[in-house]
Amino acid sequence: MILMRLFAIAVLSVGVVACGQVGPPRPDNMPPADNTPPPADDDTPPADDEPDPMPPVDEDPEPPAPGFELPGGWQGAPGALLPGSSTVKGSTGVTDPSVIAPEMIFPLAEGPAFANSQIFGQGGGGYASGEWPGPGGSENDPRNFDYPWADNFCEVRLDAKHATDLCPGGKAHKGQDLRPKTCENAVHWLVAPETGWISHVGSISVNIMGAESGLKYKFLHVQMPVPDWVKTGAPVTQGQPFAQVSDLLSASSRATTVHTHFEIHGAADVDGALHNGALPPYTSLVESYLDLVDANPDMAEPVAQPSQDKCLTPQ
Amino acid sequence: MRFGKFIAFLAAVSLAAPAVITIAAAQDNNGRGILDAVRDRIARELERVEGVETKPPEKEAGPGIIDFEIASPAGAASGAAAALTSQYRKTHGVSFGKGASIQFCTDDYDEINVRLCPYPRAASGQRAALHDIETGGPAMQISFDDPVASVNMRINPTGGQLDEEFVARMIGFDANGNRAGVSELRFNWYQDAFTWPTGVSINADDGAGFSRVDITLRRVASNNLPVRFLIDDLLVTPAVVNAPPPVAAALAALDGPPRVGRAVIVQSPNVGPAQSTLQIYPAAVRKRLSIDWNAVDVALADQDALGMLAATLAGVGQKYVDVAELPVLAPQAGDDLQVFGNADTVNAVWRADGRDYSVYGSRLVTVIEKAQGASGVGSAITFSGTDDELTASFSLFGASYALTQHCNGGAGADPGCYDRDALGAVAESLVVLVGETGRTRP
Ligand SMILES: [Zn+2]
Repeated sequence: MILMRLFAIAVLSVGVVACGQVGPPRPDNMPPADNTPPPADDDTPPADDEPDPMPPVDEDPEPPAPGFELPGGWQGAPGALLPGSSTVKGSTGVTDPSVIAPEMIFPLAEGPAFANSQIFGQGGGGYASGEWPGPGGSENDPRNFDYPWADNFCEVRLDAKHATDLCPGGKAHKGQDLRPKTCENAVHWLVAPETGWISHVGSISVNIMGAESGLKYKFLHVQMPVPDWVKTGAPVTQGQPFAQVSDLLSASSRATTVHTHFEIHGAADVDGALHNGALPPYTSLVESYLDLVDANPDMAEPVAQPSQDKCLTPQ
Repeated sequence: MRFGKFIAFLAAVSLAAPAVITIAAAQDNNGRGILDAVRDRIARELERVEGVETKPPEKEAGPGIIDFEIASPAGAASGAAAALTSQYRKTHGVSFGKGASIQFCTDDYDEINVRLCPYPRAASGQRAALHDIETGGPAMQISFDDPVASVNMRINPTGGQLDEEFVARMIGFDANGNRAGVSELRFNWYQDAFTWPTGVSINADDGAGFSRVDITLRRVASNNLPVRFLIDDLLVTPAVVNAPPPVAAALAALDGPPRVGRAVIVQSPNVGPAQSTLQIYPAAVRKRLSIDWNAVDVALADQDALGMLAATLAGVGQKYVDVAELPVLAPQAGDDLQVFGNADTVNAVWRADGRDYSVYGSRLVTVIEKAQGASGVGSAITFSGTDDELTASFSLFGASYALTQHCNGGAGADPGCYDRDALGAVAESLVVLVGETGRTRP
């Protein structure tokens, strides 16, 4: 908590970056998708001018970049859910730090971005009519758009469709919620974590299958409609923007916060048994975010939120 | 050999009476020549009859053939008959209705070298089955414990005029007693050294197969009245139409949580380049599973026998089926079936009944610890979901699969989308695809 406050103060004291000034290409000037799906060993560079997502570690370190640096403690530990937010109260999430998807780049075009809880963050009402209470307040509270990150894979969910065998209680949130730089709707671009294929386009979701890892990446609450080329089976290149972050809870409801619910799906060996479904994505996001902000130090710094009329609490 | 010396002659008989037809054989070598010629002629005739097998069944056709070599009373005189009922039920699953008996014809001859047989001797040996219309009605009824796809036999009247016209008719019935097929053969009786030139067959229409076949033989010259007749070399082919589809059978056979089988580590903090791209955390251990290609072959053979085919692949799908080093699961029906992936993971997507589906298969597994206190994988088929999809995951052939039903309209807008039974039925209907690389059993 102390860290969090320190960062909040830091945000207020640094220069304000205007929202929406910089961004990836809009749908109408995005590069067309290739006709031929990329092979598994394709070494195609990212679609836009993203930095190399995986800088070799054995090169001489660059001199420290000026500007904001991620301080120690910027990311909570894997499995360290916000207090009182797990399905079985007092239990942790998945503490295994294994990086499921070392191939992926960070799935937002630019930073900063914030892995944290929606229903237990500021403005969140908690779960089950207060049985799991949230802090309340405003969704647009600057603290939601600040460090530290918090894992929320295994956060409480009780409905049958959230069944999972990886979390205590057997039902839970099976992804990581990511807030973009600001609370603005339909401004922040999501990019393909890997070269591969659009594997499904739903009413508010896009799935991408990575050609290298074979993993599937799921994005919920994307702004609709997505660009025309984003169709099931379409090839996609790592870093290619494909949709924007929104507050859509369903095709007709803007009842959630502006965030992306991000999942990684694949087969897993869990205590010698085969699991096939959502895997804990937190450390893959941490690592890919480090790559992003290492290459773009200016992208690490939280920004002041726009005025409230731009980012109303979703209805 | 005494056998070779006899000449054949035919005694015309009254079909109304249990007349004696005296049969003998031509010289062995000559006889074979005649028989071949007759077979050719019969085959040509049969080709003109739609839906009838053109080749008479061969005695050596297979283990399912019934030659009526058992069930005759030991030491009985030539011509004696034993009722034919369920003697072949245990071995062949075949039973006979009223009027059937075993006729047998030994190598006994009278003083002028005429064989002592009541009917023409069967071509394949001493015994055949007789259907008596007096005691059994017009039709011989043959019942099958398990449905059969086809029934073949040789058929012969107990007598007739040279070139006289007969009509053999077979009617197949399904398990509910409904007609499931009919076959008719019009033939001219031709008496030669070995007789029995006529083969008849019936094949089940698409569906459940036959549980019973009725056979009649009618004499055209007698106003198509049914006559008694002989059959031999009965061959039944089991129907496989009721067998469960292979994926359904494999799913039904699953028992308990799927275990990780033989595997090779392909990535870890020490294996492969992944760790060099990471700053804080360890690269997950990834393993490549072994595929049970023998089980895949069995499934492919089963679905071939069932005539199960995948829906038409759109676009470049075949390319990725060919790259895959694991079996691809795909639907039999569906729109816009696409397949993409790499050697170790593959995804098939299609649309059916107003929803999108995908089935993801992988032989790569990531080793991960569950959260403390979590149950872990608890059953052979695990259902999971998110706001807009329901997934059933399971293991087949050593690989891991996840079948997903994508809901329309997001959370709550498509409540039927979370019907686990419906998704299970989709899983059971999937077919196995193996492409070029898969056929090398990588
Ligand atoms: Zn979420």
